[in-house]
Amino acid sequence: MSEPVLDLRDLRVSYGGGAPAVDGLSLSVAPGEIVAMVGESGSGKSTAALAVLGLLPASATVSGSIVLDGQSVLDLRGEALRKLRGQGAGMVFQEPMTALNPLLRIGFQLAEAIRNHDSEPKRHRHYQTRCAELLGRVGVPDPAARLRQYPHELSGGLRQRVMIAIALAAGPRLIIADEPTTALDVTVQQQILDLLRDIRGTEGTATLLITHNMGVVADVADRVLVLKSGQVVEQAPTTELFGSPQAEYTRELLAAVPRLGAGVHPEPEAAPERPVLALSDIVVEYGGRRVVDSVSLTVAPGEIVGLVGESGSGKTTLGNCALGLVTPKSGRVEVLGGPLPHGTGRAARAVRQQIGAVFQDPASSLDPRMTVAQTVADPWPCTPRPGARSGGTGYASCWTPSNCPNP
Amino acid sequence: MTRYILRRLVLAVIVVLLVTVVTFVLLHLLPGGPARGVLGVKATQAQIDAFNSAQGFDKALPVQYWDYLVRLVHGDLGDSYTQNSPVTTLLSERLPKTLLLTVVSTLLAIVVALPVGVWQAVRRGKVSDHVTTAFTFVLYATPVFFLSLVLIILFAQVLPWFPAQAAQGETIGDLLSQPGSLVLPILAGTGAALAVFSRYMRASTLDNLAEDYVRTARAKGTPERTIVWRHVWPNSLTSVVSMLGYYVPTVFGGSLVVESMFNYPGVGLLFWTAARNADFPVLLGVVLVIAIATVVGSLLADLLQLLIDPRVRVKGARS
Amino acid sequence: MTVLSRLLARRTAVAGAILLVLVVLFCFLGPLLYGTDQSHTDLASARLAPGGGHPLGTDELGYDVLGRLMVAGRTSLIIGVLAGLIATAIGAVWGAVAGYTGGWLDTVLMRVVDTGVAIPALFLLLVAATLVTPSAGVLALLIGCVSWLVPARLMRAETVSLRERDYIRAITVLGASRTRVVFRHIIPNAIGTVAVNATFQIADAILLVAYVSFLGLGVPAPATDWGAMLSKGITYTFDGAWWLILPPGIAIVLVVCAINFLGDGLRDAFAVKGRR
Repeated sequence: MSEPVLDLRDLRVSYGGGAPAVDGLSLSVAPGEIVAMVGESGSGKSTAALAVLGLLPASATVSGSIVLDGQSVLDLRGEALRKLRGQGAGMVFQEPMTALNPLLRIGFQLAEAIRNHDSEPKRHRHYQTRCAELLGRVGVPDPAARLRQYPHELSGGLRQRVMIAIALAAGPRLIIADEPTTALDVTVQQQILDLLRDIRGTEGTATLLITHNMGVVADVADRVLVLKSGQVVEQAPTTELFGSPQAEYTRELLAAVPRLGAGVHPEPEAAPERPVLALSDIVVEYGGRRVVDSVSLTVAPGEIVGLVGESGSGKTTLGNCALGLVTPKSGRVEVLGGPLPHGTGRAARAVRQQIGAVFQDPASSLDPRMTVAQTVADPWPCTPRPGARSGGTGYASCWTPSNCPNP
Repeated sequence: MTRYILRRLVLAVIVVLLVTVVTFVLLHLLPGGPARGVLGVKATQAQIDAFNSAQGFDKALPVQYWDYLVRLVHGDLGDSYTQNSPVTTLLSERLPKTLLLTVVSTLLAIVVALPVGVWQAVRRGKVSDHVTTAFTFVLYATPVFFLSLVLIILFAQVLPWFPAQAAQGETIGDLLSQPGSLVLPILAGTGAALAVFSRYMRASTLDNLAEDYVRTARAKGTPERTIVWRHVWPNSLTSVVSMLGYYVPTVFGGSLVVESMFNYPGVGLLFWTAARNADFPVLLGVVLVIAIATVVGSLLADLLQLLIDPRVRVKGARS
Repeated sequence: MTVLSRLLARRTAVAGAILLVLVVLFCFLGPLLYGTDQSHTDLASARLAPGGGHPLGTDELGYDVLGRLMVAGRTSLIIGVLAGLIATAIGAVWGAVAGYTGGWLDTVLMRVVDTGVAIPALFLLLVAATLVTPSAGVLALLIGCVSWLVPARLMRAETVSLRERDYIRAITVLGASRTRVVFRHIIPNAIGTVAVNATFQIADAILLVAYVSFLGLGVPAPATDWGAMLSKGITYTFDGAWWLILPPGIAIVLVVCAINFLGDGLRDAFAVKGRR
């Protein structure tokens, strides 16, 4: 077996004397291999990835050994470390929106990645042909024109392709991809994963893929490491891990992957009573742009209706119409058999108290100033319900239906 | 983009109109009206009435406001109560001198402060950062008049290098013929702006150094120097440019003090003298001109932002 | 960690707070320990150099400068604090109303702010000071009324961003009333911004008082403040009477620095986002 591209031995990272973020991690990536590192947020996987290129902040204490492309990263300083970055391994980050400099053209940022490792650096324009080739390689249409554009002029998917092109620019033998698909739409996610697999196939570049998504792992990885609290819980080839997971934690992770037909789908009642929500011919426009174009749907009591689409397809706007947060240009919204009253008057509130909403980002949906118990309790004083006791115990009863695993 | 510029222009015109309302209202807030201001407390009611009807102050307020606007459009800001001269003439003599002082000292401050701010941010937490940061804090807390006094004591008295008084004269040429006399006023103006800009640049550079794109640049092997000057610098600069517009009024406030300290014959000194003599046409004329200069200044700052930030260009085009 | 403990962890903020306490003690308790006659002029002992019974000398009317520094400091501090609080209060309410209601009211309110920003505060203050003879209270009110624009803009920006946040939308859906949203969520979340801004407003107000007095339009004699002391002393610059200029000047710089240090510390301590 040939020498691994990346070899971590007993890596430990902690910040400012706190609990270790990475606690004795060992792993190796063989040439051309795709290794996935899976774990929840906070399991230390991103920290480990940054450590490989010496990108951790000065407040981090690192011990153990990191051998990348035959060089010991922790012993490198200054110019030697700089040269290894990009050439030893290229890196792709989660947020293509913020990972590119908004004020510099794509061409400049890509050319820089090549130029940084050219023994005789030339003007950025000199690398134009190579840049266009790279963009073409990662599937960006019309590469020559894209080089002159700024990041904000590209879609999220294209930006992530540009990031991959930058990672490939200096011809590294390893790409470290930190949640490369998390911020992207489902259809685009698949294309990016296909691209990573294809690069392995043609260029033979190994990939260390960091993700919390078991679906992504199953799709591309050869081997999987499961991380929890900075430690490896289980390590196995992908098929083996999915077939017979050894660790309890791995089984929990796998159980969390939704599978078609796995859930119990009770047949909706034969003759549905009047729907709890009825949207008919809803049209919403923002500044003359039609965001929702005559959509109708009904939700019967006890029914779960999924509304699926890419970002920008209007699904959130439609949801906000049902909540009365957005007033449609035309069409009818009926909730509990009556039209949804507008404003914040008594009647409107009475109806809204019958609706619950769960928004996308839990970090911004919860008031940062309140504790969890306060947040759950907060709507209660304005939603008196029969049987709800006042005080602490009444609040606590909120928890039961939501089945919170770890209050 | 054209639409964005047009909208910005319309906004500027609205603000200028609102400023004329303020100056007009102030003119009529005078106890006993402007007549008392001119004729003094001993004036008889008959004298006051005669003055009011001569000046058109006995008409209905909306009519008076309209007259006021019409006169403004024709460049008529009234006559000074104390100096026998139209306000417009006084202003046109002095505004260029004030602009010379403010523009030179602000540019000087920017040229020095921006690299210093970046340098501080890059060396964050080191002794040199602490020392320069402490220095900018002290400079920021020093009133311009105290700074001017210290400069005068140091460089006009202890070391008699420069005169403590600005050159007098009708034209800018007269002032420029004695460049030595401009040094201290300009330095005083620079000092105040220096503190503001370097503090802002340091904070803005620190924010940008924490951005994801810096991590990307590092990950592809970009040298630190290139990261600072090619990646972070333009980004910090856009935020400084966006605050430039807000800073214009402060510049004029500062020049008011600097001019009265060094007896510099600009708009600020004109205003200060007028304030002591309750010369209302001059006071309100200056307020109006300064307000217009401020509005134009912020407009220019916004347009500059448009030039350097491609994102604003797009946003402007869409709105 | 609480706001207080995070504040105490910052050395500059603690230093600022200690300095501020010392200055307040100096101005308000100092005269009890170091009694001087600050109401009768004594021309016989005018402009004495520091030394003897006068550690900082005497001024052109024979007042003891050290004692005068205390009396003047009271005026400066009281006006500064009052003016800073008035400005913050007006600005916070104005900005919150504009930001939360939105629509045409927002447009009108913010154009008013734009207009105010276009006229430098110092110019407006001088015009006002020629119209009325300012007592300390009037001066505080005047300064407050010309410096609420920045807090108004800050508060509006804060309110708009809060209003758009998912948790505010979430509780609106849950049927919370508008008053509840404003009082239970928007104001408590904006309180950090307001508190930090109030600190900076006070520092700026102390500077503005000094400017107005320095330009000869501050509180009338025999009352005085640091700016007025400097303004009087300036006549004797070339006579080498440094003790008439440096003490009040340094006092202003120290106090404003101390408040700014404290403000910077508060800003970091309150930064809710930075805690995550």
